[in-house]
Amino acid sequence: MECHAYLPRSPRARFRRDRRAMACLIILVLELLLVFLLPPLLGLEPNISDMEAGFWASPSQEHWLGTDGEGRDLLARLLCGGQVSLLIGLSAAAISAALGVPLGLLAGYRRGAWEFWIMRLADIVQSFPSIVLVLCLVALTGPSALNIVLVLGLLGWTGIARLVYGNTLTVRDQEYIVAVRALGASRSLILRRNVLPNVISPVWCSIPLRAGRAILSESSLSFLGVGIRTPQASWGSLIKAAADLTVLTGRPWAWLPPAACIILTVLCLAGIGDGLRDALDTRNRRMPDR
Amino acid sequence: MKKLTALFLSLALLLTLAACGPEGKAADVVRYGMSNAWDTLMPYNSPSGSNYTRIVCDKIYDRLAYVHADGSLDPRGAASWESADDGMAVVFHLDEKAAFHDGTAVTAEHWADTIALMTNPDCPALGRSVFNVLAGTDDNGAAIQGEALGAEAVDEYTLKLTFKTPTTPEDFLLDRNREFYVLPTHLLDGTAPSEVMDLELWEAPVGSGPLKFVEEIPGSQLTLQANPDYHLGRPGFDTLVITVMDKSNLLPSLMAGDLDYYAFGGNLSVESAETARKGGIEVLEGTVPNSFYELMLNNQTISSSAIRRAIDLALDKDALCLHTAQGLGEPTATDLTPGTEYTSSLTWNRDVEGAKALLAEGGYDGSTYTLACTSNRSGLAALMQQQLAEADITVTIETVDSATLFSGMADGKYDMAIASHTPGALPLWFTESRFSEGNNIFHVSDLSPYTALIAQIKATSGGAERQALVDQLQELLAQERPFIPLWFGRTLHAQSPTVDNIDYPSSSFSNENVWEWTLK
Repeated sequence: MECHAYLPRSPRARFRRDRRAMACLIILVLELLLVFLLPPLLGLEPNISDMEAGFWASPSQEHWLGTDGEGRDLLARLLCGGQVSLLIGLSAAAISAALGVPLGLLAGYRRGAWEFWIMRLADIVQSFPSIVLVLCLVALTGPSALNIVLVLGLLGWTGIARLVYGNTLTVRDQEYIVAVRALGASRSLILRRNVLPNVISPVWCSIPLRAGRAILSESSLSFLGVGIRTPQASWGSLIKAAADLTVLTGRPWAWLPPAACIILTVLCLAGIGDGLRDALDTRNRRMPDR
Repeated sequence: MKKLTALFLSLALLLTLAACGPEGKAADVVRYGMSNAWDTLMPYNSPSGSNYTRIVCDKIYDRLAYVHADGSLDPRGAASWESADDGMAVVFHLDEKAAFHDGTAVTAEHWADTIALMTNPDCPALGRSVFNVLAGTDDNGAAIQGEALGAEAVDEYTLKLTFKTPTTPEDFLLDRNREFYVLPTHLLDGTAPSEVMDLELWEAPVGSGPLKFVEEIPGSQLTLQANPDYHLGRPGFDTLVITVMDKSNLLPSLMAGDLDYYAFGGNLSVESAETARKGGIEVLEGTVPNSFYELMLNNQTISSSAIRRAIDLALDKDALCLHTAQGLGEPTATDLTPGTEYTSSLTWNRDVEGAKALLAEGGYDGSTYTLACTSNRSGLAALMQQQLAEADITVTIETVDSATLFSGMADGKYDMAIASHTPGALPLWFTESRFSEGNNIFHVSDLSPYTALIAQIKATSGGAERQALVDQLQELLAQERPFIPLWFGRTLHAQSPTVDNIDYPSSSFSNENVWEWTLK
């Protein structure tokens, strides 16, 4: 006999029971608090050179992570760079979701020409190597945080749209949808009230993953020199500034912290995504053994 | 049968493993690294006109002289030279022992024919403007029909170059020597000028330089052989293999023993010097400036000279020089190269309050200026941005590639831009080319005060009179500040652990004394 006694009913409770996902969430929230609150609290200036400390100064009491090649405090740049990287990641994921969900719903529910054009557009966007496409578009539009958010967000909708489209195809012919339709409900009401709540669960899981990928893309763009505008910092641009044999071998404090932050953030977002998937998937009867 | 198969397989495996081992290096091969490829082996057909092409052509073809980093000259294709026709011409007495790789003697006729061919308007030569100093040519260096060209073979081994304005042999050679090569014109007989560049000869060129062409993998590798009959002496090795590799791999390859030397002069930064020393490479400190940094200004958008001088005063050149040259450089108030014949008494000191006063005088309205730089100088630009902000000058930084930077300045798109150059020993090495109608990159509205002084300096052969004119020009530049001289930088040279007698500093003049190189 199958026992469901240990499975909490609400997704929120199920998520809370997932220790790994909760740990990831706590770390991410802590990181967000540190990145956004610490600079104003400590009065950190990411773009001011300390000529007394000098260029590439080692960690000291005044500069906990040392200074960069222009004499700027690396802790300040790490925290302020984190704001940029996290904002880019989360904003790009939000834009992708805001585009992908309605397009996936329309393609899956209305089918016909809607399905054809939306899904072929997704095919075209996906057929390009993503980093090359992003690189070209950012180079064309000019390097700035806003342009990177827009390019990453506008190109990232296809995965979410496919997810929603596939689930909508399953849901649209369910009996309860047919019944609501027969009762004369409008198409938009059906989509909002009946279809969307039943297809949205996997989207919640994919948003953190999408955000993680956007952070990695921004880091790659900054590393390739088409990221955000100088002197603004991001985690990727901090690594780029340290991409020199001497710095890599002799000054690990210059590149290890931003690299660790990128890895930690992406892992946390992936962990949260996994946790959400397990929590929202009611078919998953077995409690995660964590 | 099984034993035989096993034996055969073992042997094959052994041979494969042996082939994977370190490549045995022939004792007489010099392995030469370069971070960018040459674009042609025909010296007058280089679209980029880059120093990479020049340094390769320098080995295959001969030039008139060898230029040292301090501006002194040694004979090369020409054994001696003297001024003639009241300074309007220079007579070169060619080295009679010089010969092309096919054995044909190099004569004055070859030099004169080379110049005649390259200045022929029908010949699609690139970089022809190097000849525009010669009489009988226009501003682009093309021969003017009906006028006598200023390149004449006086006799078999005497070449006479006649100029438009009085020019000393030293001025000419310091300025143009690296662009003047002698071609094997005896192999071009019957070829129409318009078809010269299409000849297969340039794929396996015959020159009269210290090294002979062997084979080329375009853009990747070039193999050259020592010319045993080179008139200045046989190089002390048999083969030189030039390999293109990423810049970041040059020093590690030298340390690992995969390279014997890398262009240009084994240059390395102070940062990398410690790594090199730890890797067993001796590091030589350059004594002659090999770089000049300037902040180009758009005199149209920053139209007030007071504001331009304010920018000069607001910049902390010491800090900028320390940041980029790491102590191997001197901030400057002029473009005159230190250590050369011509000097200036002008000095520079940072004065933020003085800059603010000049901004008020110039009516600065708080406009935001665009500062363009290449990506490797974004840190330098960020420092400038901070320093200018201290004087309340607002600047945004645009990171672009080098070509976009210069075209953007020429088009007036940017207000200022950071650029660096290889300095010269002549007093006009920088100003002459930048204050002309054809290249008014600073967008100066009235060039005449500059061009008048430049013409006077050119017409004066030297000494106190010329120094006085140079002072006048520098005073004018300081007053008008059309560009901001930042600093002159020196470099460090990673010395070859395997090759002796390399003249490292002179490599920045795109010539290398390979005929004097010997293997240790």
